[in-house]
Amino acid sequence: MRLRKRLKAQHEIMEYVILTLFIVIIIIGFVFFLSGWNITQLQLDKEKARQDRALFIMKYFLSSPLFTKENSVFDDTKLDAFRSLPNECTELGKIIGENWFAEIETFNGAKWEMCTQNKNYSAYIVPANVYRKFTDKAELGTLKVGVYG
Amino acid sequence: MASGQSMVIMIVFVIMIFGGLAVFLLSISQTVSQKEYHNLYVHNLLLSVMRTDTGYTDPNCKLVSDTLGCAFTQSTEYKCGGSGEPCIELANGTLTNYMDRFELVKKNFRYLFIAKPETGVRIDPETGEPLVVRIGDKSLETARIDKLKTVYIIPKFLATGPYNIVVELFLAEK
Repeated sequence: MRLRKRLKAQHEIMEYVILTLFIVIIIIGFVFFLSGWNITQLQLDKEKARQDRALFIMKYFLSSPLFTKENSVFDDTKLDAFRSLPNECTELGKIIGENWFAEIETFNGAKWEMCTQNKNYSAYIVPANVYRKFTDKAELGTLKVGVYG
Repeated sequence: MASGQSMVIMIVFVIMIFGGLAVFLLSISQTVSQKEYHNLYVHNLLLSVMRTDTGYTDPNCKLVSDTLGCAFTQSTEYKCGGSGEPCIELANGTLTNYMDRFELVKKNFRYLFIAKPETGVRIDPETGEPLVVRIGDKSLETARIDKLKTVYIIPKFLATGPYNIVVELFLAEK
């Protein structure tokens, strides 16, 4: 009789131990899930900030009279003049910050690169025109803006 | 026996609570939206294509927008540069050619240009219907799907007064 009682007590203790173990496993799993979720959200925030910055720089390039003849139409003479400036990236960096690059390319093969570095980046491309002063023609091309990091 | 059952119920209950929380967190998790970028892209696409030179020096056909304007303001016999292509054909050819050069559009999007006068109509002599130029995937006009849309106005002046041509560009994912 006493043995039966002892066995029953042991059995109940085992049940509680198993129950606690299960709940602990579930909680640990949930903690891992929460950590993963948090990391993903932080990465998304970072990506969003990078995208916002790239779009801001893109809009700046498309509308700045420093590079364009009119909105979204780049002037090749201005682009050439900008590229020939000493410390052009540092100077422009005072307005739009560091760690970016821009590439303007026409479908006829002309290309202007600004502030390119050999680093990881995420970039966006939009259509744009380049006015070629020599031929007096607006050529179709693209503007690519990337943010490093 | 009863204790074992209540244990299982409790475990299921705990799993349900945490599972529900996980689903809730996943549902409120944000994603990086490409909407702003796509809007900028489609706006610039139409603007750039319209402002690109066609290769003709004839003022009615110099830019792509000029050729579309010419289709509505000149006679159907009018040929660019005197002996070139008719305006509608030139607009069609150049727009299709230019759109094919954009990798993003070529790979992921279907497009449709619709050009028509802002006010009034011009009758197409071939069909007898009001003239509307459609270039690209014509099914997009009536398709009930998510579309990106942008508008460009080509200002024209006739003897009777201003005569604007409205060009709409629709883009939809393939």
